[in-house]
Amino acid sequence: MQAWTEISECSDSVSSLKGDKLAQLDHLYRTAPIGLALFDRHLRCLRVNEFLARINGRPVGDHVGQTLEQVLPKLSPQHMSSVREVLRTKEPTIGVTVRNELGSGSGHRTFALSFHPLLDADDDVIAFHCFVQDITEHVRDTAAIHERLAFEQFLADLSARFVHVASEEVDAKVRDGLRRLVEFLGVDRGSLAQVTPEGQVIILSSYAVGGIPEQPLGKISDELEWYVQELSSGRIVRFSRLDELPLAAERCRRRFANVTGMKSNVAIPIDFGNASVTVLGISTFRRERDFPDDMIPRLRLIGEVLSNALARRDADVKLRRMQAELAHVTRVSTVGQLAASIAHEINQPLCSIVNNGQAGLRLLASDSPDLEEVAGSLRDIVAGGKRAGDVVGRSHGLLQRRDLEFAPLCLNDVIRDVASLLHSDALIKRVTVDLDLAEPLPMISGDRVQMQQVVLNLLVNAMDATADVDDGVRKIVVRSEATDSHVRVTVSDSGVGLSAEVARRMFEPFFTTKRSGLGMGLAIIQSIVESHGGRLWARPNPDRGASITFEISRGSEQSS
Amino acid sequence: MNNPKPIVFIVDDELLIRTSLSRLLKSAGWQVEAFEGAAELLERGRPPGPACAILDLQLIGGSGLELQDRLAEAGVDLPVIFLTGRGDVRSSVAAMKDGAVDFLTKPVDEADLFAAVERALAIDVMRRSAARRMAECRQRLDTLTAREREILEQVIAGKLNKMIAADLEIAEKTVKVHRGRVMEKMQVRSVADLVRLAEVAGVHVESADELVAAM
Repeated sequence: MQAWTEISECSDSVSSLKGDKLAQLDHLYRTAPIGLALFDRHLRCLRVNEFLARINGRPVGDHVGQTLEQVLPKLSPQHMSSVREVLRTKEPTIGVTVRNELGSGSGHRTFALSFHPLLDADDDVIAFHCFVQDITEHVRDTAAIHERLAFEQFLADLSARFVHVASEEVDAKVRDGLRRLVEFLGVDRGSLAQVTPEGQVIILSSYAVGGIPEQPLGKISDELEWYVQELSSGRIVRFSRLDELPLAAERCRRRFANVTGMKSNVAIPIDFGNASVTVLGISTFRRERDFPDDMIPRLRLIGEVLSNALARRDADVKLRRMQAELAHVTRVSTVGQLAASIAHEINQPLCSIVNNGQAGLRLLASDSPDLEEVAGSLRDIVAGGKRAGDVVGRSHGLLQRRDLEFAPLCLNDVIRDVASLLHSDALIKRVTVDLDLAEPLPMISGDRVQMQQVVLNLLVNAMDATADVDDGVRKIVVRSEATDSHVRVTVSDSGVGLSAEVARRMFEPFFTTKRSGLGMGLAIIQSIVESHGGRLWARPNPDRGASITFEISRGSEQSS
Repeated sequence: MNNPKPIVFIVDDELLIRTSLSRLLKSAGWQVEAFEGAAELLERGRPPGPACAILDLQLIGGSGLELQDRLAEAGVDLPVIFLTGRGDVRSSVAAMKDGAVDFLTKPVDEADLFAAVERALAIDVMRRSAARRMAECRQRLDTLTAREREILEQVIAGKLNKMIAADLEIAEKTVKVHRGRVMEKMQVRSVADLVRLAEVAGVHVESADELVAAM
């Protein structure tokens, strides 16, 4: 090792330093746990310490007299100019980072460099130090933390996207989730599949970046038998290059190589323990890619988020189908009770049609037919036919088994439709039904038939309640009104009212006060109203009878 | 047929039914008046000429059956045909008991409807002529003196002049004079006609039983 005295001999500038200062520097160069180098104003190396020599993998002596670029070969022109700035401004430059292959082939390492001026008694720069710190581990740890945070952020975002997702949107959201995953990982394709109990792999959703074919939905190719077998046995399939595939996977390899062009892939089966196994797979087509071990649990988490959404959707769809089925059954039974009334509603216009037809024929048969009167008959026949058709249509709609269709609709129309179906039933039961409808009423978004069912059920209940009253007042009022946020419908009757017990239990399934009731009516219509994002409640009237009210939030559409 | 044209009244709360029934009946030559409710028909009252009413069995503000009662109470005595949407046996029996002429189910065939209307109008004509005859007889009866009335009752009871004279303690000749005046006032030629007329006018003939008992 050179002594500072020797350096001062070969460098005029350094020789101007006092002996005690040189001794301090000497001590620093021997003991500091970082690489140190001293350069003169001409960027010639005066000295390096042992630490730096070890980084460079050369003896200390080799460095002396070399240029800055020879000692620190990865410096860029920008670095060089900032070094010159140090000489000019006498201010240190810190935070220069270089990646290097210094040393003896231990791979890429990262160094942080800083340059500090050495000043003489006149405050002139006589030389500068270079501090070289190996920050490889620090950089790697930081990168790992960043990557982890990014993944966690990604997972949190993805999970948040599946909170309160309507069933109809789940497919699109899952595909969007795959797109985000593909973009996040920088791969070419992501797919979600299901392994059936029969051992088939069915693709449920797939996303591919532009130019790469999406995986067709449904059963995957028979040629991928090995692949399917691995997944249905719960094993992960992972390869970074096609030649990593085992011999047994030869058919798969050929298909990937010759047909699909897949270069690397990882597919993770996610077992939910209930015979349902889903698979999340990601692949590259443009270049080969490693899928390190720590990626597997992450992909599994993402796969769980996506397949949970699908499972929840399936359960939701099943529940809704059952609910619709039950709603249909109760609707049919309610309409059945009205059969006589509906028949009468159809019979009236039929009667008018027959009368008019016979009158028309008679008029035409006379010597000088009154054609105006004949036209009147024909017009009334048309009107009667339409009216009978309307009644048939309304009752038929209620009897049909069909899927929900949410559309903008006006509850006043629903109320009028149902009230007209009940018209003669009310006559026979001597109940007056008054409609007190706010016009115009804002539209709501709802299923027409289910809304009809709600109003029908409330009206039938109200008529039954008034039928139990002996004295003459049998009156029902159906009122519609708009609040700031909702459309509200109230059915009030002058019936027997609500006891505390009934009020408490009326919305329970199978609770009924009627001899022939199933007890499902109110429970069903409550679930219908709730599935429309509304609510339903009942209260006794101050004088007599009870009122049941439901409200549905107003749609954004224009009022009718 | 009498001079005024017969009128068919229709009471139905359903406009379609009112207009179509009116049109059909008018096309067959009847005069028709249609009302939405019972009150209007009651207000209208019965016309001087023959008439009948077609009522809907289920009417707002009271059923057809009630209307039939109220018509009878108000003296609007019309033969009633009921129209109903359903063949309800109980109400049809009740209606027929209360004097409904017919009970038709909607939709009704014109032949059935016309036949029912013809029948109802015929019944009305009959009822009215019977009523008129009775009123006439009563009128004639009212012209009799108390003594003549006594003689009439005895005559229609089948008593001979001699028996009447003995009963009333008057001369047989006086009986003959009274009897001749009774025949004249009642506008009959024979005892048989007198008996028929008295019957129409509702004269009691219980004295006939007394006669039988006396014999």
